[in-house]
Parts: sequence; C-alpha cells; structure tokens
Amino acid sequence: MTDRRRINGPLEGTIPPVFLTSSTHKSIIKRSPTTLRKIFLKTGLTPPATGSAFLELPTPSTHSTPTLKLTSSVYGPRPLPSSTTFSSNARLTAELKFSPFSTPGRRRGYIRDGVERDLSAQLSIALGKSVAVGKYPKSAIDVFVSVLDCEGGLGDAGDEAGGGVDVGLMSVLATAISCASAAIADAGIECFDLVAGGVAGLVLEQGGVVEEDRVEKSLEVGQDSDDARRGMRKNGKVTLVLDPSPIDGYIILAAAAVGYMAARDELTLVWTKGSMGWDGDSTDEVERIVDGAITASTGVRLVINEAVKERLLLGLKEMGLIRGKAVSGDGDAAMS
Amino acid sequence: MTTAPPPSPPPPNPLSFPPATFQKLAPKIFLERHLQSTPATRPSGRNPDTFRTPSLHTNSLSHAHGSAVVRTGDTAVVCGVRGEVLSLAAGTGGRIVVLRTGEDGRGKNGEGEGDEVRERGLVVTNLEMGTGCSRDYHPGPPTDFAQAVTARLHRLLLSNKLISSQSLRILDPNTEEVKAYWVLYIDAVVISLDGNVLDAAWASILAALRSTRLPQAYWDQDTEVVVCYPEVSRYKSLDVKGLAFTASFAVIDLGAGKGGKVILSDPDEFEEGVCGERVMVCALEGEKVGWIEKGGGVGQVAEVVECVHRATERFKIWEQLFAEVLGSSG
Repeated sequence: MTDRRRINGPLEGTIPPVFLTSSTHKSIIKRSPTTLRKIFLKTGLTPPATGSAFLELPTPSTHSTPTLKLTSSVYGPRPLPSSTTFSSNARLTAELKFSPFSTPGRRRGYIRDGVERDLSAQLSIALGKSVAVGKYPKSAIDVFVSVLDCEGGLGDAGDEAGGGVDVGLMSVLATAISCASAAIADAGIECFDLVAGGVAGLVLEQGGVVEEDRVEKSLEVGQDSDDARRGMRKNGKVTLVLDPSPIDGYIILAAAAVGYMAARDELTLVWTKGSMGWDGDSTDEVERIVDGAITASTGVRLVINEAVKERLLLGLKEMGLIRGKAVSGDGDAAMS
Repeated sequence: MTTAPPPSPPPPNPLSFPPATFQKLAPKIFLERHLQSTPATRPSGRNPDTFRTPSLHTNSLSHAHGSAVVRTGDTAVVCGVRGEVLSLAAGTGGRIVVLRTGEDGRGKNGEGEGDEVRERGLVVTNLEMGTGCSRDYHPGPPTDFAQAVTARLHRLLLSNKLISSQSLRILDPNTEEVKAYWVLYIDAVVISLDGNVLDAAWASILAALRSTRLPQAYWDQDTEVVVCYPEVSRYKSLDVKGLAFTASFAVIDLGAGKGGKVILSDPDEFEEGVCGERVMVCALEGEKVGWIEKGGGVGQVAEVVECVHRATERFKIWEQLFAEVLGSSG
C-alpha cells in the first residue's frame, strides 16, 4: 500500500536499526509510588488556533530520556458545513495523531491507524461531557492532539514490554485529555468543568525495590498464564503506584486511566487493563485502582488550573491596557 | 413648516469598522493602506524588508536520531530525522534493481560520489500539516499545497547535495563492499502556521540533519544482517556539507504613483493570502545563490536582485543562529 500523496521510502522496504545488544536499561525508580511526575503545561503556543496547549511530562533531566510531549489545538465554535444535518448541540470531534518520529522502534505511518482512531474516540468522549455543547448549536468544536514524543509501552509488536500490562497508551490518553482540556479553556469555550486525566497502576513489588533480574525471572515463570500471575501476586506485595511510567520498569498487574472533573466530582472516562480482584475482601482492587487514578488526576488538575489562570491573568492585563476599546466591541475584542 | 425639526445628531461615521473587521472585509485595501503610510509598515508592525526573528532548538525528541524545532513568529515546525536500514542483500533476491541513471557509483569510494541518494531514494522528506496548525488544514491526506511544499523541500535537499552518499553507506568490514544503506526519513510536522511555512520547514530540516547522529552500523557476515553498536559514543554525525537557507517574499503592486511594487520579506498568512506574486531565493554559502523561483505578476530584474540581496542578509542571520545552537559541530 503506497501513499501516492507523500514521498515514500525505497520500494524494497527498510528496517529499523538492529542493535548488537539491547542497550535499554531500565531507569532506577526514584519517585515514591505516590509522587506524580512534574508536568510542564503552557497554553497559547499555536496562535492561529482558537486555543492551544503544549504539555511535556516529565521535564527532562537529560537529552536522551524519553518524555511525553503533546501539542493540542482547538478550533471553534465554528459553523458546521452546510451539508451536515441540523444539530442543536455543538459537535465536538477529537483527533489524536502520533508523529512519525514519536514512538520507539518502527516509524509510524501518516495514515491514522486503529490505535489512533481508538484513542481519538476515547478522547472525544472524555472531553464531550465537560463542554457546554448546548450553548453552541449548529457549530463544530475540533480538537487536535499531536503526540511529538512518547515513552513507549504502546503494546506495538517489537516494542520491548516492561512486563505485565503496558501503560504507554493510557498515559498518552490521560495526558492528551489534560492537554486538550487546557486548550479548550484557552479557547474560551464555555465548560462545566475542566477534565484532568490520571493513571494509576497496581504493581508487584518485591522487597521494596523492584530489581531488574528478579523481574526477569518472575516474568519467565508467568508471562502469559493467569494462574502464574496470581501466584506471583501471592508471593509479592501489590502496591498502588500513581502515574506509572512505561520506563520506570515496574511489573504492572493492572492499570486504570480516568478522565475526572474535580469540581463536579464526576468521571468522564474510565479505562482499565489487566486483571483485578473484587472479591469484596479488604483489598477491593477495582475501587483502589480507580481511586488511585482519581488522586493522580487531581494532582494534574492543579497544574491545568495554574496554566489556565496564568493565561487568564495575561489576558486581563492586556484588556486593562486597551480597556477603552475593548468595552465597545465585546465579541471582536476577543477574536482579535 | 417654518421651523426645522431639531437635527438629530448624525451618526459619527456610519461606515467605520474596527481594524480587525476592516481586515476581513477588504484585505487588499487594508494591506495597501498600511504600506502607503510613511514609513511603510505592515499590519504586523514590521517593515517591508524585516524578517521575523527565528529561534531554534535541537535534539529535543528522544526517539529520533536528530530533531529540531524552528519558530519564526507564529510559524513553528518540528522536524525529526530517523534512520532505517535498506539492505541490498535482502531486498534484491533474484530481482534486478534498475538505477535511475545508468552509472553505478557503488564501487568507488571517496570522490566518486555516485548520486546514490537520488537513485535509491535514500532521503524521504515529508511535511505534515494536518495537525491543527491552522484553521484551514484538517487531518487526512495532505492538501495540494502541502504536497507542493513537500516536493519543493525534497528538490531543494537533493539539488543542493547536502547529504553525501558516503555517510549513508553501510559496508562489509572485510571487503569494503556496500551492503546496505541508511535511509533518512525526514518528517517535518507543522505545529503552528502563520505563513511562510517553506522557510521554517527548510531550516528545521537542515538543523535536524545537522544534529543527526546515526548509530555505527556494520554488515555481519555470519547472520547476513546489518547490526549497530549500541554505544552512544560510537554514534556518528551525518556529513552535511555546507549551508543553504531559503528566503521567501511576497510582492504587492500598489499601482503607479502610489508606491509601485513593494516586496514583503517573510510574509505571514494574511499577506500570503493577499499578494499574488511570490519569490523564493535559496542562498548558499559564500554569497552564492542556489535556487530562484518567481511566479505570478510581471517581473523585473531589479525586483529579483533586491530579493537576492535580502536573502543573503537573511542567510547571515540563520548562519549565526545555527552556529550558536549547533556549535562547532555544525
């Protein structure tokens, strides 16, 4: 399948470089399980858009550490094309796209694949409930998210899995929700609340620190068999980790991503992976993991609040300078 | 009636709009009025010959072999370069590969720079604009404009011969025979678009190529595959020869007696929409010119000379920025 609208590589096909030995060594976990990573969030970096935001997670320490970088831009509310049927609510669409150079291993294609379509659909569901769509009839609100760089763990073939459940896609989705929500707020679209995304995972911990060779060993025993995993669960201690990163090197038994509106105390999205027990005993894992994800998203929410506030203060300052004109053309002033 | 009714106060000026509305209603007149004022000023506040100040960051992406972010005003482009291996042994089992020119430059090393980059398509340039960078671009297949810009970037890259085939060859360590090639996938993603995407995209591609470090690879005879050394210290930077920078201009004709033709350097989205005439000059090192494109409008040589002059000035600014950011390695 060649894409005739783009320049393609050699017909013979190319392969990503194969290394002599795998050089990827797992980073040592320095964070405590309840500490969230530092987030850099800035709005208004795509001036042609109505609203935009850039999110980076975590702030990188060195050049080579993989980080998650997303940009999000929002257009709207703008009129729906005349060919579409009448809609009394605004139509919110979300598009998430990985850049070709964003993922480890194989280069990503330009045409949207199933994973991207799935994430786009989840993103639009998570955001849809927060926007006051009833205020904007016959209009469209388009949200675009481009992933520039990510940490891996996307569950691709050939992507070395950290063991257990991959949380890469979940953290991409959760940060995309946070970033897009900040962009919607930046666009000045009326919202009920801001949505923040959070991820939490149940992690098998052995003796406090996850040691690499032990991880390997236990993986060999129980890679696929669920029974063996349950056995592992009995041997090790299961702890809840907020905001687990694919490069932390945890063995994640189960993970959950949520979209959470803190002011209304409502969940817009819940997505869990992996097996969790809910046998009604003291350790109800489903509740524990979702609660963990909510706690993580509450932390993220503080960052979104700050970013939106910063932008708002800047806007108010500008309005203060041009107050005489701004009062007369209320709608236009915001546009220009 | 002898007494006139009390005159109602006339509306101050019924046809006056705020500037933003005027700009939307009559874009051409809006721009012309700006340029006719003394001194001629563009709506953005720049002089006609002022370019936007560029900024550059390199190597901020972790999964690309080289990357750069270029921002000029409100136009921002991220470019990532990724190397993949084209194995000659695996792909050509029994098949005959017809090179685009008859000459086979593989045997010669050193001076005999057979144009393998062009023949085998070792450089793959693409520009992605469907990222919500501007109001008019939607995800999906690239628009005609995006395809045209991509083709120009690709042509510029090949015609300036910036990448030597030698640095892309992967050799058999014993026989010094070329067994495979690196293929460079150059992907420029436009994050924000406010006109003149070509200059920003080109600068980001050049900066990304200059910051690219490929793993050291060799042909393993036993397994018949290309293997790379994982050590970062053995990564080699690409041999990028020389510098070349593009400068784009938009030309507007104000009419005889009203100022004549005005050349606008580094036009933004609004100016690009209004002006029909475009000039693009690619300046090379040593005050040379590598490429001139001009279209739309009746031209005079003086105009092109002026553009070339401005492009060489612009070249110096880019050169300085590259030297600052990329250091001596550039």
